[in-house]
Amino acid sequence: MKKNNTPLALLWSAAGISLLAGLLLTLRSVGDMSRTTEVWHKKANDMQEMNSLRAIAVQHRTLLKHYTGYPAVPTPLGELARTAAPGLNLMTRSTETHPTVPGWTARMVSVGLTDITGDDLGRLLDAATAANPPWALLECTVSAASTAGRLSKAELVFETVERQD
Amino acid sequence: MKTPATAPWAKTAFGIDQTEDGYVIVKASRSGRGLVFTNIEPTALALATPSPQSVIVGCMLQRESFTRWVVASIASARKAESVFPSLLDIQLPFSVEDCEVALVETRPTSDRTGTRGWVVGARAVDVEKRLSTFASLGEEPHLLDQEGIALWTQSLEEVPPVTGGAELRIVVYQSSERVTLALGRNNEFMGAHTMRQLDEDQVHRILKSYFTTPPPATQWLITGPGATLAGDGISPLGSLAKRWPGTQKITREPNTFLARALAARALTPGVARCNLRTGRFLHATLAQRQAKRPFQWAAACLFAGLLLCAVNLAWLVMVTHRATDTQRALRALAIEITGSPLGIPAGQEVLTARRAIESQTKNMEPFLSATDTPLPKTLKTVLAVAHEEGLSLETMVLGRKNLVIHGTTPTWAQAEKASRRLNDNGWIATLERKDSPPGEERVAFVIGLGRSHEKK
Repeated sequence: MKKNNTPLALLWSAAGISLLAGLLLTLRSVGDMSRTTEVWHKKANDMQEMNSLRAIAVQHRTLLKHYTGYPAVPTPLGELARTAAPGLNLMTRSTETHPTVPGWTARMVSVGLTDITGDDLGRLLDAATAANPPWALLECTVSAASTAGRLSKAELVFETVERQD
Repeated sequence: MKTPATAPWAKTAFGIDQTEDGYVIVKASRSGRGLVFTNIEPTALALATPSPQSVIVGCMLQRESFTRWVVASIASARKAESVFPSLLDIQLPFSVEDCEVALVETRPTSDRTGTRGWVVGARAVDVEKRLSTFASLGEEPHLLDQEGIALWTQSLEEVPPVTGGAELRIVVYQSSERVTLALGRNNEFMGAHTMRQLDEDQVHRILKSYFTTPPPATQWLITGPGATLAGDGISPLGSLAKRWPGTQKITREPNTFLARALAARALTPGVARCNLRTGRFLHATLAQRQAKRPFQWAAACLFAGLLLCAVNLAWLVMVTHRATDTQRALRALAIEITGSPLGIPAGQEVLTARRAIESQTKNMEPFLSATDTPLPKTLKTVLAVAHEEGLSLETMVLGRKNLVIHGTTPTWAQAEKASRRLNDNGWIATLERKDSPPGEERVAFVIGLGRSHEKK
């Protein structure tokens, strides 16, 4: 009697097909491995950079929030000078404004001082830095006087921000 | 060399030592710590329901079977195997084609130019007779082992050879109807012989055929249902003990030794496992099992293939999923940074976010400079250093990134010291000497300062 081998043949065929498919898929996976690793590496770097950028964005937001707590208009430099060093002769040379982040304007003021002491200049700078919002010193040119400890002339450039309410 | 068990799939094996007095049956069962042996009453085996995971193992007696070492002058074991039947045919007094033969071990010859084969076999008529004998007693063994080899390998298992011990080992199996000898040098089997009763002269002649002079020490292992060690000082081996002097020892439970060997050899891999119930004598259960094997292999291959596909597909899904997740996270971060989901092309999240931050930072400069700029502190430091070092400043220009001081000093050393002190305050100072005006005794200088981090 002839043995019926059809089921076995079918089983072997299925096994062969599945093994071949498995082998092809494995070859594909192995072939793609270096590219996959490269992509993952790049994505990891991207994530790292994005997190750094996010930290900067958060820092900016925090700083803006901090400035929102200040008065909309800064205390004028003349007023600060009168309070910090009453004898100071402060002359405003120019005032410029330029837009900054939406809702805010940057104000740059150039002032001149004549015949002042180093201490008075220091007090003016302390008062400007401590103002709310602060005045930032951007440039400074001083010329010495013949008298020790005094300055014949000082040109200072300050910058601050104003809120547009 | 280890060979696989003859019934590795079985959990239980019944070893049957058939003598003229009846059966000796031992049941071996697998357990966590090896095999557990139980002595069985012959009637209990007859009544037991056969389990698909148990085997009954009988053996071809030494007198109805043979063991031979054949040597082929071919180094390749595989090629040598093909010539062993011809070589065996020369050694046998009957045709090898009329025999059931099993090759139980191959090993290279001592000079490594040939191959030795350890062959065991029995004439088909004897196998048939043996099976008929079993059948007349109501049993049908699944496997037929060989007595001499079983005795030898079990003796190695139970009484392992000791380094520096006896060179010649002789296992003497004694029962009421036969005496079988299995002998070997150290742990290497040499041959097996059988006789009706212990004939000392015949044994002596057999031993002389292997050893022309007796070795310094011989180890006699006595076993079998008839094994005794005389208590009256007279050795059961008679004159052999004097002619082949050495130690005499009776094995553990000698009456079940052979049955124990047969059961153990079916379940565990080891030296020279064999089954002479093959070919047309193959047991129906084993034949069925053999017939199933192609299906089992095909199923295993199918399973392996499917598993391979599944693993690869899982990997693919995982890779895709991870890429999507990362992309989603990048997009979410880009939206958070830029403040809007618009204008972020797919795949350019980092570039878009980078540009947004650059733009933000530029707009935020007035805010940042108020907190970052250390100009007032620098100005104060410069004025203090100038005052302490006796420098006269003529002009000083201070910006965010640089500072230039023009002045005079009583000595050059003071200018150098001031320059060094400014250096220590986070600046890179360069000191330059200038020509003093006519009539001026003081030394004119220029100190240029730059931010130290800009040096990089």
